[in-house]
This record gives sequence, structure tokens and C-alpha cells, in this order.
Amino acid sequence: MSHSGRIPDTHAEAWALLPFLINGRIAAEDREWVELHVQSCEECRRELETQRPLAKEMRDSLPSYASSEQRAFAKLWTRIEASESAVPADEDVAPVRVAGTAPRRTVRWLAAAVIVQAIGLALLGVTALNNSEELRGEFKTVTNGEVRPLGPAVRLVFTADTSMADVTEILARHQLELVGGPRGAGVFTAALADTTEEISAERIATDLRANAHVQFAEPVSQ
Amino acid sequence: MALKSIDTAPAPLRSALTDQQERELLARIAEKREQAAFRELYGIYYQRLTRLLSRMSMRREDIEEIINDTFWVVWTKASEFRGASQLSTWIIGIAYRRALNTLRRERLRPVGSEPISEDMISTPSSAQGEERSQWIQQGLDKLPLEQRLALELTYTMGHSCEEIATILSCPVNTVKTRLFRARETLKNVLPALAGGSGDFT
Ligand SMILES: [Zn+2]
Repeated sequence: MSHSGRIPDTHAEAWALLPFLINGRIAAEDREWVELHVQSCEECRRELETQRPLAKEMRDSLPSYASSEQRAFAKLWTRIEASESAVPADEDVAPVRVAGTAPRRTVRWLAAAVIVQAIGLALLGVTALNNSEELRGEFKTVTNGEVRPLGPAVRLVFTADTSMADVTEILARHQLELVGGPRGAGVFTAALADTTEEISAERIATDLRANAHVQFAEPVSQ
Repeated sequence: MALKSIDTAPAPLRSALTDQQERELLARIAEKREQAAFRELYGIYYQRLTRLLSRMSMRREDIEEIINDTFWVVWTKASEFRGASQLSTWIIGIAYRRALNTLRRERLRPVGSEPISEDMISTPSSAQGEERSQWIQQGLDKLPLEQRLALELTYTMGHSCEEIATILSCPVNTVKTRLFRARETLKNVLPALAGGSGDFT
């Protein structure tokens, strides 16, 4: 009992700290006086007896999703691979690089696609989109006149069943305009049309991901 | 079940690694972009975040998305973590703020799928445990979100008062107040808890 700090020993203060006595995370300088108080306070002892089983029940009773952890991580890693391999940050919207996608990147993209397939998602739906004459005509000008977007921008990949009308609708709904792409694996860059809008690229990407036609959506770092 | 028989602190759902060890994993992620370290850190937090987020009544698909968005930030910002706080409070804090955003957004849309899905596995080992667990859950559901979270972070996740204040971005005294109110409310809605009869049902 060499403790020389304050010894408030007030019931209210001890009472407030009881949960941390229970979970073992009470500060060292508080433990001593709280334990001392509890010894002499019937009310606090009863509270401990009530709270301990509650703590135990809460800890034991929660659902566990352990079974889906592996699949969830695979999804995340695919996302990381896709964003890092498809568009290295600096080359992102540089017009010179747009025309040819380096073979290595394509290979990594394919690897990412295989993972996606393996975990039960639809394979990256890029072929249909790229083969569409209509889309080609539409996006060529975009690709050639690409400029670094000023406002928040995202990269996105549409699913195979996405029509031109779907793309137009998605862009309109999120107030986006295409500023780049398609890149080798069907990666488009889209930027917020109205740059005075207060919305982050992260938020746009999150919203886009909720759309069934969007296979990938990632914010572009500015 | 006799309440008095339980007088040892339940082992909270804490990381098996120390903060220092977790920081070493983060350093490997930041400096070497090491997938193995990233995978390990992800595994350490997956279950804990799942539990926390399901206590926030998040939908199943949202939980996974929030965890992955959180770890997306961990991957991309690993080198920016300055370490003023514990790594765990940083990571859990990110997930908490993302979850709040999602909840806010979802309030604007019609109620969609159920918060609970078929691949949810409950851990109670007996039917009796299942019943108790539901009973507790019903009580917790009556608490405001902040109080439920404070209790969850304390009892299930085993955080200190200061750590919880960091995660929830609020003063330490606010944490204490929320816990105080949660305890009082639970005693009212779950009288058997306060009665100390030892009978949960
Ligand atoms: Zn007392």
C-alpha cells in the first residue's frame, strides 16, 4: 500500500470503473483503491456479481463469421491487386500510356480475375464491353483526350452484361463523366462532373460498388 | 447457473499479439508490402470487427464490406500510421466511422435484407446457451447504439476506458457515462440480471 496518489474512495467513482475491473483493463493507479472500496461496499459487490455474468454472456453469445474470413480476404486482395496492377498511380491518366497496356499488367490482371472466379464471383466482364463497336467508338475519343481529372475520380470495371444504356445510367446517377479508359482489362476512369460537389472519391467508389453492374470501383488518389 | 460461481474475469476477445507485435506486422506491410503480414493482421481483426459490427446491427454484406474497406485503408495508409495511439484503436476506429457512415446512408433507403443471414454461426454450445444469448441480445437491442458499443468494447473486446474514448472519439468521462446508463437500462429491461437470482430466463 505505498500508493500515494489520490484515494477518492468515493462510491460513484468506483462504480464507474467497475466494468474495467471486470475486464482487467483498469488503470494500475485505480485498481488498488477501487478494490479496497469494493471490499467495504456491499452495493459495488452486488454490481460486480451482476456485471460479471453479463460480460461473460456478451463475450460468449456473439455470432461468428469465421467461415467466411478466407473468402472475404480473397476479395479484398483481389481488389488490391487489381488497383495496384492495373493503374500505377503516376501513369494513371497519362495519355501516352493509355494506348498499350504492358503485358505484365495484363497477366496480373488475369491472375486477379482467376481469383475472382475461384471465389465464386463472376469473371471480370470485360470482353463483351471491349468488343462492342458502339462502346469502342464512344470511348476512343475519351481515351485520346484524357486529362487528369480535377475533382474526385474513380476507376471502375463493369460486368459483362452491362449495356451502353446501363453505363450511361450509372454515370448519370452518380454525376460522373468518363475521363479515361478502357484500359487493358476494361478499366475506366470516371470523374465527378460537378467538381463543386462535396463528395469524396471513396464515397463515390463505395456507392458504385453497390451497383450490380460494377465489378470494381476504386478511388483514384489525387 | 449460479452467478456467484463466476468470479474470474472472462478472457476478453483480445488479440493474442501485443500492440508492439501488431506494429511490427504493420511495419512489414508499410515497408515491404508483405501479403503474409497483411493477411495475419486481417485475421487478427476479422472476427473482432465482425462481432463489433454485428452489435451495431449491420447487415451481413455491409459487415464484410466495412472490414474490407477498413483494411484497404490499413494497406494504403500503413506508412502513415504515426503510432500516437494503439494500432487496435486506429483500426477499430476506422471501422467504427465507416459503419456510422453506412448506417446513416441506409437510413435513407428502404429496409433491405435482414441483418442476420444463414451463414451466421452462433457460438453457444447448448440450447440453453442459445436462449440466454437471445435474451441478452434482446436487452442489448434496447440500448442506444453508443451505449451498446461502449459495453461491447469493454466486455467483449476488453478495451480500457482510454482506448474506447480513442476509438469512439469522445472524452473518457463520456465512455463512463455511456457504460453507466447501459448498465442501468439493462437492469431494467433484464430484471433477472439485477435480481441476482442466477436464473437468466
Ligand atoms: Zn461502492
